[in-house]
Amino acid sequence: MRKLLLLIFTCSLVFSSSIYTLDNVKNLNIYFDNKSGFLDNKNKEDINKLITKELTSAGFIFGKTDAIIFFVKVKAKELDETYFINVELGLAEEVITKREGSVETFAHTYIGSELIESEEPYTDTVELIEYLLHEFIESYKDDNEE
Amino acid sequence: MKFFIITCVFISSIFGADIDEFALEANYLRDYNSALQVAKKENKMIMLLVVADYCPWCKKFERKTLQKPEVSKIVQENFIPVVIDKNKEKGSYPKEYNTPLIPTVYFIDPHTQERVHETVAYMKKKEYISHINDTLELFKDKNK
Repeated sequence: MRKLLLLIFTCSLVFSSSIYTLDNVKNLNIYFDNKSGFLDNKNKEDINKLITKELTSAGFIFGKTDAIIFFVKVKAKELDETYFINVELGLAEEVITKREGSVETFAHTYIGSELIESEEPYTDTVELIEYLLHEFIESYKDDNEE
Repeated sequence: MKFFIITCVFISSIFGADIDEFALEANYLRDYNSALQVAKKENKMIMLLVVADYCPWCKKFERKTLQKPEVSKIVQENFIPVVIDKNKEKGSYPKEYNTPLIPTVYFIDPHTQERVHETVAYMKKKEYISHINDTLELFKDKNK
């Protein structure tokens, strides 16, 4: 699992652009949605700390009012001692659409998602979150460099 | 002729509001044949941008690269830019430029209608400007 993620991560660094535009994303608030069945409160807290640390060192700021929501959703199903885990990570914020009347709505403005099969659910989930997090940070850097 | 151009512009304006909006903001033509006439007259290459209204990479390329002042300036000075929707405007431009890969930009010699150079996929300002400079060199060499 680790090798595979490392390989995917290396490839993602080469092709770091995403279809989303991440210009001027600065203030974030983390929202963690745990529907895994195997992550307890301590695990959740550790993952939150990890995300905050990575994003802070990439230059994002936390704690401001009306910040963009940085969501992480973990869903899982267990079958014969194997977990099928889906991690989705992204941004959600109020946007103005191009519809008549310039309607405002809450929208996802970045999504990264992966599905894995695992026998070590906690370790693999953390690795997957780290991978998606790095992919997000690389896309952010790519969009914001001159 | 004027009537033909106005009709073409009107027909193309019915499709793809976002593409029209981009064309208006970035000063791109919306009809290949009109662009060809202007390009022949001004002896400039056509810069044919092939996109589709459902393509997020096309939108990003338009927004983050083509609409940036440094890119826009060099494009307007050296080319007759035209943007077309690959599906909705099929038949209104030469068949050989109907590509499955979008966004694609073709730099076309107006006298022969042959491609001088092309770029495929989203690319950033610096990379795109470098392609433009290569294209201008190629065109210069070709017309020596």
